[in-house]
Amino acid sequence: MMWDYFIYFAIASLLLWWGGAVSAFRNRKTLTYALTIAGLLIYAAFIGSIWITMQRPPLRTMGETRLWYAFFLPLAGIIVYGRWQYKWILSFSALLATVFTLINLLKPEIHSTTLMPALQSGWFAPHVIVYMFCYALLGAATLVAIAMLLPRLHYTLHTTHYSLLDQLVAVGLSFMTLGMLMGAFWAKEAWGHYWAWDPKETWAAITWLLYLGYIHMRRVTQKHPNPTMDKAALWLLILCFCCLQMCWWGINYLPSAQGVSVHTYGMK
Amino acid sequence: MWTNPYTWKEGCCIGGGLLVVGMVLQWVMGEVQWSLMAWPVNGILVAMLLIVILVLHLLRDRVYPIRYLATSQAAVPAILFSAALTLVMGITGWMSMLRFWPLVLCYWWMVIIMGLAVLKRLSRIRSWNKSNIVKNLAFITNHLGLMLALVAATAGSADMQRLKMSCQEGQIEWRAMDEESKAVVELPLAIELQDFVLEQYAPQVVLISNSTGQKISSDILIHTDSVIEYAAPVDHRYVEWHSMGATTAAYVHVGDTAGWVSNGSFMFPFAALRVNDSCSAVMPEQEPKRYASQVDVYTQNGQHVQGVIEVNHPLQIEGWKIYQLNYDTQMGRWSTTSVFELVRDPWLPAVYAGLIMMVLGAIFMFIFAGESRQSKSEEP
Repeated sequence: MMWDYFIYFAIASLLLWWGGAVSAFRNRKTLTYALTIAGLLIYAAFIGSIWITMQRPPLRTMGETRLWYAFFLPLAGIIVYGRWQYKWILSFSALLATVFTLINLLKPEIHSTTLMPALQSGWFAPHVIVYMFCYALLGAATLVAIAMLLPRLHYTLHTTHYSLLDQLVAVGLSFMTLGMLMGAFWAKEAWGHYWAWDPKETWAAITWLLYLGYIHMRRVTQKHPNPTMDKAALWLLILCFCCLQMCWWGINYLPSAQGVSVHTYGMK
Repeated sequence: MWTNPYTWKEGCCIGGGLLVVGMVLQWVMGEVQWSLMAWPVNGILVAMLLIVILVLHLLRDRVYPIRYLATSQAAVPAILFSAALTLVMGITGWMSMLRFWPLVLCYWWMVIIMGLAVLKRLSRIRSWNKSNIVKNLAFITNHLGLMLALVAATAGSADMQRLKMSCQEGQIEWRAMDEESKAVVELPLAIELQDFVLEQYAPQVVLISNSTGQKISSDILIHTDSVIEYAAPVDHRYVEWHSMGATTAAYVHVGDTAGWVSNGSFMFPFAALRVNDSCSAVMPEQEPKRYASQVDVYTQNGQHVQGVIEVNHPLQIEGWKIYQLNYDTQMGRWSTTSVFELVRDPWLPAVYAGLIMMVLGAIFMFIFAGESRQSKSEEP
């Protein structure tokens, strides 16, 4: 089984990503790109191989979605690095990718290889992949927000950091909107209604509204500077990410969502 | 407070006020009766809502609070109040929140703000130029799209019909059950089920614990000698048998033991193979890979359509969408019953128009994400 080889791909990718993170701090730009992209290619090769060997997109179980998340984080990281030259972003993304890879190595939830009829749809892959990319970007935004709230890190509440945050959230929210709407179109085809307030949908709505709240809050403070409100926006961003976790996997453990969600495919 | 210019504080007061008013309404009138909003009531209410927004917009130069409502300053509390009430629903799982007046009022508040913001943007169409036209369009697609989707989805919910119809192979059915009222409805269309097919994934053999019955992982090797897809038990073994009720069976070697396992059917019991004192080999029920119904659909207008309905591939006819919902799971692949869901949603085109505008809006948001907000300073 392909998963038995995961550890080799994982170790190679993680070493390359950490190498990229270190060389970013040493201002070796070309090396940074080369190492990070090499890591991404190796990880992608693994995802591609299990996709082929399982004969279905690896997007159903929690273990499989974590795989995508661990892949998209360094991808988001290298895009942010390429565009805004933040050296630390690659260390953050490598750290998170390591955490998710370790969870997959130590607690794989990858038993089932079948795909039930409801998931056999052209919407399946884009819906989940877009969401995973959005989660990665918003995860990066949350880390920036936390860094800005920690006085020890000397990240003064500076406008350049805010503009990085705004950009990450805007891209993340645009992907989230696309993922959510694709989910709605798919739900209409599969379940007869585009929005049924299933627990996962309810939490998706909460998360979406809260990120929308952040964007509007920042619009206000850009016109009427207000440091207290800016700081509140950072806290809001952390709350947003907690709700996002709830939406992603928390509802699997939420008592009020037990047995009612049609979204708990990997949990049988 | 309540002096020009208003800030988020006034917005929070509006939100608090709506909560109080909503609680009073809930207490006096009971929960929101969406079913009373069936056509034409919903049409009239939507028209009234749009007129109210338009009138408010026309009065905006004279009344400061209306001008305030069209700002992002006012949008923040509206969004956060709506999110907070939805959060209550998320945590508690109370679906009755959807009929809870404070939540409904907060969403309407958000809709009015979006409507005013869109009208404000449109009223400044003369100041649109090459450099800002795309951003203005992005603003309008985002806000109008969400507004349209929300209004059409909520107003149209009472007009949506969701019916369940159970069909037998070879018979014509035109009666269905309304899932909410449990009333039997006679439809302007009839379905004749020609054939129901269920394809399953290949059978698997797993080890379970004898004491708990739970699946266990073990180093014991499982080797499958032969699989009979259509089998019947005869004298402690299984033979090929292609009649109704046939089960799936496999001859397996598990460690030092060998024997038959089968997942049974409505006719035959399942068979497990005891490996040792702690575990047994069993064949779990195969997971369905695909199920589909071949049907003839006739309508009152004389249309006759033949087609296959399967999960993710509904059949559309005269405003109805027919979904493959279920089958007789007791009978499994021998089921001659197919259950359909029939959905009619006359407001769907309006909702989809809104959703597609939101898709465009999201693409715009992605494109403009990298740009600094400073260049937007000329905007309201």
